[in-house]
Amino acid sequence: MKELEVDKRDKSVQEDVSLAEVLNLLIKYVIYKMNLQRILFLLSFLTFGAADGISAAYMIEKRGVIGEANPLVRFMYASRGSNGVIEIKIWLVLIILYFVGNISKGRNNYWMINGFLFALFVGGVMATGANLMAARGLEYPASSTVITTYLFLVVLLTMLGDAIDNLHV
Amino acid sequence: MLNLIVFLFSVTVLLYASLGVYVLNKNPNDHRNQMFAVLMLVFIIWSVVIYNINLIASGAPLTELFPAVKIQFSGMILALAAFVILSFTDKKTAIKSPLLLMIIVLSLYNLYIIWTTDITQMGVDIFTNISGNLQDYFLLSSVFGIAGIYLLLRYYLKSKYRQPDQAKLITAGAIMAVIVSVTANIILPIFFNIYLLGLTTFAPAVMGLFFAYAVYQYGFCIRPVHEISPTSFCGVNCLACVEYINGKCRGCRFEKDRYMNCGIYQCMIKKERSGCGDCTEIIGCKKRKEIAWSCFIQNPKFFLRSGTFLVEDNGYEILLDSTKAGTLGLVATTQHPSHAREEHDIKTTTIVWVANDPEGIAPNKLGKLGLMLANSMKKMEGSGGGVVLLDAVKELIEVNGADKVLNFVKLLDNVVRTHNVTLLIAHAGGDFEDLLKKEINFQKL
Repeated sequence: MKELEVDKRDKSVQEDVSLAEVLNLLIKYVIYKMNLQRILFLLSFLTFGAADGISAAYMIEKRGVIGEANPLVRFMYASRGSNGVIEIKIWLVLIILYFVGNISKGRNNYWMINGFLFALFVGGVMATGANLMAARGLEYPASSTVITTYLFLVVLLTMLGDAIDNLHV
Repeated sequence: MLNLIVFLFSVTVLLYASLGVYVLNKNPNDHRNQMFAVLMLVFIIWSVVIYNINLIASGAPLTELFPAVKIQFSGMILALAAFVILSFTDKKTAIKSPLLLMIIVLSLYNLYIIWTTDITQMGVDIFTNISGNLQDYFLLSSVFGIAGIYLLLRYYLKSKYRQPDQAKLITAGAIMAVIVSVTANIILPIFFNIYLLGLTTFAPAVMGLFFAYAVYQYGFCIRPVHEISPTSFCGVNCLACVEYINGKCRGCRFEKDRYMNCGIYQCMIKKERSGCGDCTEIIGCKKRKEIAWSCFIQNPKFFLRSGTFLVEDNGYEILLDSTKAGTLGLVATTQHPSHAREEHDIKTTTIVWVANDPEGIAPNKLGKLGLMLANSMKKMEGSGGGVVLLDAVKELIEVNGADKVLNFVKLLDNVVRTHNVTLLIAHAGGDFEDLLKKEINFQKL
């Protein structure tokens, strides 16, 4: 008799916790864990890795392999198709983010890292935009312009972040 | 021409990867070292960009182009993966990271694709047709190159490793690299319509070669650090405190009521250090100067003035007496550092090993030893003075002769007097003492 009561109680508890609540808790946990740097890490991965890779593959399919400036990406497309392009872009962004993530742990470089990641995010957005414009046959910014802007931002924002970090030493 | 480009590319990438890993492993907690390693990573990617531009624009025959393509792609993948893996001192923890494992797996997959795909079937168009204006690529290469050189130079010149002669070499390398880059990427293509492809790849390598030679020739400056106190976090010597002597206090390291309210303890916890002695920012730390020395006034046994002093067996005792009272110290000895530490109870004070060993400074390289000691003395002055114990005079005389060592000591004596530092010369020997008497003013302790 007692065992049966226990089973009923367990069942009622299971029914009380809905999927919406689990998701709600999960979202709350993610929001609690998120800070500016983690958001920038995520955005960098999504733009510089995933979005740039997918849009580059889409652009190559529309315009042909000549539209891509990087010979390694051309090679991967010729060898493995769109998946190859996405894979190589994600591999590169993982290497950069892993390295940056490791040197950012517990050290006084919070804004320097944020500056670098923000430049990466902006570079990813610009590259994705250029790929999509090229795929649709619109006039798109030259790859040299995108790379120059990205590098300029890397230098500027990293140094700016470094200066802010030094103020807090 | 293509072989030369491949060779220069490999040398360049290897140089940047080695320098980045070497510097980061030297002290992974140092902010400047991290910045330097990031720069090296950017330089590797930059070299790949320049190489790609060369490759696309070279118009070389297929038989030359395809092996070069495979070598370049493999080199880039291996260099980037190795750079990330080797950059971390705690490799046991790093290897457990799922992200790192994913990077390794993807790198191996990429290598597999590169070496199993028959690229001759793809057609040369994939590699040689260029989208956009060739001049844009050259201009981009130059802008990136000069920005990178400027950054490297800027951070090196602000670094604590900077030494005057080394800085000259690196500056010369930077100037050369900028000249090569401007000539190959801007002047020749724009004004003369000449594209010297090999030269564009050579620009970053110039800087890398000069930098590598400068590091090989001079090494990195050894930084003096404070002696760790067994009773305090900041390094003050509790043996000089009345409360400690009378048994009222066991030292703030063991008294929770004292250390919980101490700003230095809070800072140490935040930085995950065991004490100020193993912190990289100790020399310029204002917090330590303000807090540590307000606790109590210490009275060292020996009151040392700046100048050169001759000592016998009590050299280490005098040095430790000063360093435990907060002064910076440095020992140059022929004894192996681990033996010297064990024998004389030296915990953190820097020991320079004078020996024919890759880890030490060879006795015949008096210039290098002198430069290192002089640079350390300058740093000591910035921290309020210091003590240098030279316990290698006999061996230096045996190798170099008394005249050279005399000049060496005279040079150090000049530096000592200029920078408010005490130089202790141990076991000089009677004959050398007589020679010294004629040349410099010294005292016996």
